[in-house]
Amino acid sequence: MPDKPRFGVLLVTGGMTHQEDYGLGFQADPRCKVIGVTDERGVDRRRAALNRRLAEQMQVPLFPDLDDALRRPDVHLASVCSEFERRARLGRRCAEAGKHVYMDKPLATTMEDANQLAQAVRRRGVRSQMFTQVGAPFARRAKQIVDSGVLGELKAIHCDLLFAKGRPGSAPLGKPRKEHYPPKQFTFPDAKREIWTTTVYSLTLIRWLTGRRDFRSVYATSANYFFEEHYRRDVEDFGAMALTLDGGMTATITAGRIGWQSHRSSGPNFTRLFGSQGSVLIDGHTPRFEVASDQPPWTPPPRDPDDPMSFWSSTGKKAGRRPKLDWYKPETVPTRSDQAMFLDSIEQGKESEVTVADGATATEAMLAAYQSAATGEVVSLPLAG
Amino acid sequence: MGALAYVEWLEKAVQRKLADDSIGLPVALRAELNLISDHGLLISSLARIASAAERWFASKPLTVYAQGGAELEYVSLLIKFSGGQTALLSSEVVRGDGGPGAEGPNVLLLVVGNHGTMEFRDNPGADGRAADMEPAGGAETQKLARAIEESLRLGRATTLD
Repeated sequence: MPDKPRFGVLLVTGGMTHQEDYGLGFQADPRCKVIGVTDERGVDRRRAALNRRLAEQMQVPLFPDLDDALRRPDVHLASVCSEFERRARLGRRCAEAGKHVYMDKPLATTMEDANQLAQAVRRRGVRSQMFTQVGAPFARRAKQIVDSGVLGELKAIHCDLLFAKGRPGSAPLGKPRKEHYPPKQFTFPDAKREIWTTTVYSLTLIRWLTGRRDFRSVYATSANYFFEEHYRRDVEDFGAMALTLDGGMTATITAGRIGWQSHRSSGPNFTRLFGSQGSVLIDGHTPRFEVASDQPPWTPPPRDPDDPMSFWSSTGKKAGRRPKLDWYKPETVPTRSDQAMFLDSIEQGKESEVTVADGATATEAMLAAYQSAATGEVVSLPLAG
Repeated sequence: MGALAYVEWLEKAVQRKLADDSIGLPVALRAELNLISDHGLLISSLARIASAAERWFASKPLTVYAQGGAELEYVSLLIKFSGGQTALLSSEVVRGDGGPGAEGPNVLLLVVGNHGTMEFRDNPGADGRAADMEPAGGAETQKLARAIEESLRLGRATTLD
């Protein structure tokens, strides 16, 4: 007979967020029981309906008041996927209620919010984790190489992570984007800031690979290359960063969303590690089989008016989004879900691999990137004020 | 036939493929050009590929931000172009002839267009091809090399005329 689940999980904010995936990740782990879906009181009707929808899909109760739900003794951890502007505030309430917090990325839209969340976690002595890609096979391979010492002392890391999603070609080209600082709005139905939502993966990967070295400066540029939606919202669909880290190490990053058919798989994913003794390029899509056949070519899903850029799993499923089959990537290292890694850290009483403090560091670098892109200057970290 | 002038060949190959418009207009470039074991040639090597990017983009470089340095055995550049394009370029000394930590000459190019991407990877010389890795370059390349050196010296982006 299987063991009784040890962790009650509260899902904070539901449908059309990454909770659709994280909730299932927790539900699939035998150590967990999903207790229900909740949110703060006063959310708008659309959000309330989406929360209800996820609760129904997962066949768990809907609790209309976050604070009531947090008083439940059977809730041990909260998975927080609220919209960017609400996320850190709700995460902090969960931590202050003594619950371990699993946060979607990025963590917060201001350093004040990020720091308050990190302080609440520290003060209450709960565990925290922000979703990242450090559990992905390419990241594990990179870590093994770095830790083996074969490269000597790391001098530079170059990361490219571009997502093959959306219908490109509609952004007007021909002049540099004018960036603004500080960024004011983050949540839109049809656009995501790509420095915000994509460089966070590379920034956390770089710190994880380097033993949490801090960033010391950021130089960055932002652009509108692909999507009219991003252009109309005045947010970037592409960004590039050059950073310095403690000890004189440097890093560069490209990030963006480039279009459904602009890659044979999910998008370019390269990590180059340059050390004093050698270097290596890790392609996130190798080793792979490249398949050619008379099967019908892959085609993008139809545009969903509720989710035009196909951000969410539920709308992709509804649209019949098919996987791309041209590249087959057999597993090279055992994969473990990000949610399982968090449960491991709680069980073992150790810090997770990417804590909310790490998430706050990434937030600071991303805010510095916007400042740099707006001013054309190298921005020193920590940020002033 | 003498050794292939590698960077010149690469520039023309990319230019020819871009001309068929299969990726739309090129908007961004990631290039890792690790061709030489002489750290004294890193800057000229990068300046040469930046000069090629100028022609691929049909746009002038506006600013260059450089990191690393010859003495560190690598240089990285973030270049903004007048038409809004972006290039991230890097070059590091080549130390060996294969395997992790001892790679031979190697190249990664990712050209991002507004309708697609074009990826190129090569290990020049690995299959017996004779290739001249030392980049040639004219006045534009020299100007870019001076901008790279200035950015490395000052620790900030350099504006080109």
